[in-house]
Amino acid sequence: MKQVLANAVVAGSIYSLVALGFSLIWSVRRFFHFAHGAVYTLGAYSAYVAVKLLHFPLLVGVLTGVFVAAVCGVAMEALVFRNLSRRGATPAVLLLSSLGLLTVVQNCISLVFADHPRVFRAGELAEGVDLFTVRLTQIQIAILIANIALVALTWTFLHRTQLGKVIRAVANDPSLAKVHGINVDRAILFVFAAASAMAAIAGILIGLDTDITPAMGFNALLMGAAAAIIGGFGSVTGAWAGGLLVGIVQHLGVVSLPTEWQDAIVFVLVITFLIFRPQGFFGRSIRTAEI
Amino acid sequence: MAYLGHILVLFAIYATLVVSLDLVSSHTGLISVAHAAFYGLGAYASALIATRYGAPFLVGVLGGVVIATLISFIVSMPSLRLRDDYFVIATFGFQMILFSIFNNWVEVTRGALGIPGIPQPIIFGWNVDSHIEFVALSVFFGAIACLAVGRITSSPFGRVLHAIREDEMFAKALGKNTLYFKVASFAVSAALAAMAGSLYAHYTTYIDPTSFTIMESILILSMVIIGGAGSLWGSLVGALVLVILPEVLRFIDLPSAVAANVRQIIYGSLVVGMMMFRPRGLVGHYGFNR
Repeated sequence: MKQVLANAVVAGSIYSLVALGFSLIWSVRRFFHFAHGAVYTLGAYSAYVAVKLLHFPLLVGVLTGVFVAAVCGVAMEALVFRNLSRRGATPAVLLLSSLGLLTVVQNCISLVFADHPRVFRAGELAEGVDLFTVRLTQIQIAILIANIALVALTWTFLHRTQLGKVIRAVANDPSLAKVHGINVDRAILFVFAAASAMAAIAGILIGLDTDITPAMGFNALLMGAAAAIIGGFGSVTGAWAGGLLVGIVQHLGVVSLPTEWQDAIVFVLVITFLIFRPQGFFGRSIRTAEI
Repeated sequence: MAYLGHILVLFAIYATLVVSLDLVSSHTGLISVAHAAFYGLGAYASALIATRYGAPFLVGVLGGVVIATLISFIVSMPSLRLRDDYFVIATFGFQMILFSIFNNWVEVTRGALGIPGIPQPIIFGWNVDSHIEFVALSVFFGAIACLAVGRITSSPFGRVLHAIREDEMFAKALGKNTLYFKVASFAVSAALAAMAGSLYAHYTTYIDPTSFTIMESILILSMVIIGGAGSLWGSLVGALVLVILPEVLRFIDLPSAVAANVRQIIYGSLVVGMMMFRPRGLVGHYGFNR
């Protein structure tokens, strides 16, 4: 039971990293960025290429993955979403374009690397270490640490730095921010870069723990989006708690129901939230949410 | 000839799907990514009715339509409290849940194994077993869908749907019960999709959950966008692109694994390109992007 809970928290940590980026992007652009899942996959595959095919050390691989993902996220914003927004696209249009981009990037990856899983971890399957009566691999511990570190970093950044304040201003009211001389486009670009980098870190860590496939990002994104909705958009703590909750619901549901119903349980929860509490646990009311 | 027949049948089935999704997504403005779920409901319902109870084809079609309509109420009643992109997310969730049911409710749907041995349709003694006859039947079904949607959208009922799309508050202010109109258009759309599903099940004689995934839903929606939202011709053009493109890729001799990806890449790029440069689609009237 404790072991199930530990696994749930590890899975939830990944979801909350995806949810955090997804939610930050929603805050500044007000749409559901589904291609975020493709960015996650791209980060993992870039790191795989650097480490396994070009034989760079792991750290270089991680940096490559983060860099490629950030560039990809920024390019999507600069080339597609910004132009669409300027022409007054509705959130639904941005969502559909993002789905289109997801299809393109995911299929490009599967075109180059084929659909079979790639093993990314170095050497043997890690034995794992015992920690408070549960067994976790080193990578799983790294996932937990990365989760706490990145969530704390994001929160501190948003609330304690000048640029963080600028981003919160943009999230709150882009036109008002513009009137005050804030470069809104640049702030949004920065958010895309940071969110994509976080997605890449999550993708690389999960790749090191299990393996990577072209479809991995879509699954992670579905759970991340669920987490963001349940936790509440535009809230760092919401994305964090939502991710953990989705992980726990997914894994603990299994105690009473067969494994294959995991995803269905999560989506029943999402729909319940959408109907009865669309702002999620921690989000403020949808119209005026801020970070 | 059999090859051409196959393409025509596929075209008619997809045309039915695209036209019915166009009704709810473009005319009423409720963008749904659960269409493949209703398509699947029709396919599974009529496959089960035919294989388990040996009921005739039309009973299966009717069963699929009734079940899809009922389920559409379960989906639309709560989801319709949500607008725009939140509605998309809700239909996303329903698509995932229904797919999960097709895939995991093994006692009924046989899960990933699928349902084999679905009989070819027999309608009042007319045994539909050649390609030509199938083309006739599926074109007839497609024509029903086109007529139904064409008729609905050009009627006063359709004008209310357009009003809801443009400004729901305004429609309400005119005393229209907008919830009723939205639920009704969603139900008609689901029923037509189920009809296409029944036809598909009896055509291929084998179904499994992989035909009814979220990706299939996105694909059908892409066709609405590419062909042109809010236009019957647009939907037909969209369906045509969908059906012809894989065949073109086959002619230029791409290996099938590569062709599948290339096809998806082309669809994805077309959707993004349309959104950016031609929001009305190839021959549409109404742009999502305004």
